[in-house]
Amino acid sequence: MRNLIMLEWRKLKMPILLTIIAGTLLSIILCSTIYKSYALEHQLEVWEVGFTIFNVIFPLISVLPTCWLMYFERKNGFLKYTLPRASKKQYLLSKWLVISSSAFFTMFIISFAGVVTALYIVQPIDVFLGWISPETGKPAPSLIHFHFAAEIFLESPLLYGFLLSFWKGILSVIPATMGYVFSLYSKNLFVILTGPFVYLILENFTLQIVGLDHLRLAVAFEPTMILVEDVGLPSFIFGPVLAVLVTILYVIYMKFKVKEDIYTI
Amino acid sequence: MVLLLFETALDVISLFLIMFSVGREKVSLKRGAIQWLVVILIFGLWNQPLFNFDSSNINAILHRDFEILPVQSISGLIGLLFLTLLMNSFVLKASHIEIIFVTMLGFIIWFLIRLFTVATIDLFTISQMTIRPLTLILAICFYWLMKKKFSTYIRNDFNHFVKLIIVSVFAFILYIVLSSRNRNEFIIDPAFIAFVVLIVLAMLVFLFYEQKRTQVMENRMKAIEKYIPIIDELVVEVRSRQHEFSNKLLAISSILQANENMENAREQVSKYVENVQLTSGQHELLNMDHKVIAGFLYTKMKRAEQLNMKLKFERSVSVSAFPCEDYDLIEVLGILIDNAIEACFGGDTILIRMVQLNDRYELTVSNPAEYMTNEQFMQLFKLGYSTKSIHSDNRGFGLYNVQQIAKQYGGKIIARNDQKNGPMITIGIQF
Repeated sequence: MRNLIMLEWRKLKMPILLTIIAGTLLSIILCSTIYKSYALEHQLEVWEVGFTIFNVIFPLISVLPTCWLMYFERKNGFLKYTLPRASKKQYLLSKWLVISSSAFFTMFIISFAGVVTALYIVQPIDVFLGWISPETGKPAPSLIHFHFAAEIFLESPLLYGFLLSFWKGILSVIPATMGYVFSLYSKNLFVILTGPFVYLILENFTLQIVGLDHLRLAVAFEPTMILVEDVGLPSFIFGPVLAVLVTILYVIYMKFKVKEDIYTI
Repeated sequence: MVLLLFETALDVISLFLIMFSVGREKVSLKRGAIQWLVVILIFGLWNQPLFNFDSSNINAILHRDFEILPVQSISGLIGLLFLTLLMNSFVLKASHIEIIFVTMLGFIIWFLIRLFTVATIDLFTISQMTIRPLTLILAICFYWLMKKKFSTYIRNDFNHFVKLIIVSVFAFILYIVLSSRNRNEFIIDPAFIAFVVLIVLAMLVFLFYEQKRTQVMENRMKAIEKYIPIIDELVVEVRSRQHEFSNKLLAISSILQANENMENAREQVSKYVENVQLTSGQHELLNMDHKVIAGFLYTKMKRAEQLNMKLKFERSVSVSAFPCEDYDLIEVLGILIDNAIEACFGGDTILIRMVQLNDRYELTVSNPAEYMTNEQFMQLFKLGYSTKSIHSDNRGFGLYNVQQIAKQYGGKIIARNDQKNGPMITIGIQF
């Protein structure tokens, strides 16, 4: 198993490392620039406004560097070549482990690089208090009232950034898994590479239309997208569970309805 | 609501026409095309804030940021790009890489058309409601032009340089559109942008020269690989004849011994030797100093022989002295000889001349033909003009290409009437 994982890593290390480097650079650049046109109250908000684009494209970052490999291995018959040499389950599992862990680390590193940039590289912001306290009638800090996990955000921003980056990493495993599952059955490379992203967009708009904003996968990824009152445990659970269910349904559909087999193409 | 649907539909149809024209796909009401339209239309509509907010905002939607992009948000734009890519992969018959570049090229054209439309409407202060219909009209014109006039220009696969240009222009236009649309969100230090632009430009210039150099090398290699084996065939043919020489010498000796009369002996020997000698063409090709050109001319000579025609060579200058690449010389010779063969009948002779006049090198091909006026000669070099067939779209490129090659090397085209062995026309190139 260890050898299989190393083999997969050797195949994918270049695109993964390139994605990490490019993503980290982009994160640093965006976190160092975008905040300038915002009125902010806390230094870590620099990361929140700079990281917005990643909240949309995270399925692409998770899928693009890795999920193409399975498609080509099926297409060029390499998968059949592995049959007498490695157990099917172990081979597929080792691939999933590499893909999912790379998605986790890529997103975690990109996100945490943004946190570090916001807290230690960007110059201290000019604090702007835009909220008028109804009690005093004067401008007052609003984050304590309106921000998700306000206490930890204000008192231990590095820990907050670390934990949320870690969570973002975990959530990135879901689209990576979805892309991997698509790559096991689909014959269209673009379905594999853009499928999870298109799923996120469709799920986003569908849940918005039916008024279930707070249950979107994007909200689970970035809970500050919606009002703090709406954030709850379902916001973190529903989106990921729905994505996993869709993935399972896809597998069932392909396996039992379409009768598509991974090892034939 | 109806207005929004109508406006979005116009945008989607425009995009559809552009994608299909750059993807070399014929527009038809097939299932794939309808699916393409429906999916992108639904996405475009879903992405309108109308569906997310109060429907009383419709006027604000129509007049806010909706002029350039058919979607309302950055996530919507990214979604549109990838959804279009996905749908293109179902309907366009192309490789994966080509689909990516076709999609990018389609968006570049769409953005340019839309930016032009918006600028025109601003300039002439026309109602904003005309933006989408005008975009659609321009997209239809583009589709028609691509289909009728410029289809040959998008027939070849994109080379590396074109791909790089597409990526750079796409990124640049996307940045312009996004920064103009969201002034607050996409402000990047101008110095950084200037730095990136300079780096990209330097890379493009380097890659342009590198690409050109590689292309020249590839063409040379292709020509060598194709025609060297042919001249080797000619050498083998000559060698096989040399094996018979001892028998031939014995036969000549027998003729001389059998004939007491010297005149008879001479006559019989000269008749016998006629069959042994190489043709003048073969002799010329074997003595040619350029194996690739010789190999190429040998194929043409064989072709002419099959059609009962003769190729005659007159050469007073080394082929290597011609100041152009081998593959260009082959292209010129190929076009001129093919044209001459098509214009000739069995028994005709085609004359190929390579001569030096003062400090200029001249390559001409002459074939028997009726007298032509200067105007007729000028017509021959026009793009798309052909004397052979009006039923094919792929004619009329040959002499135009000769003219382009002449321009490339600072040369001239030659077209004149000759009267050497009856009426002939001579067409060629002077370097």
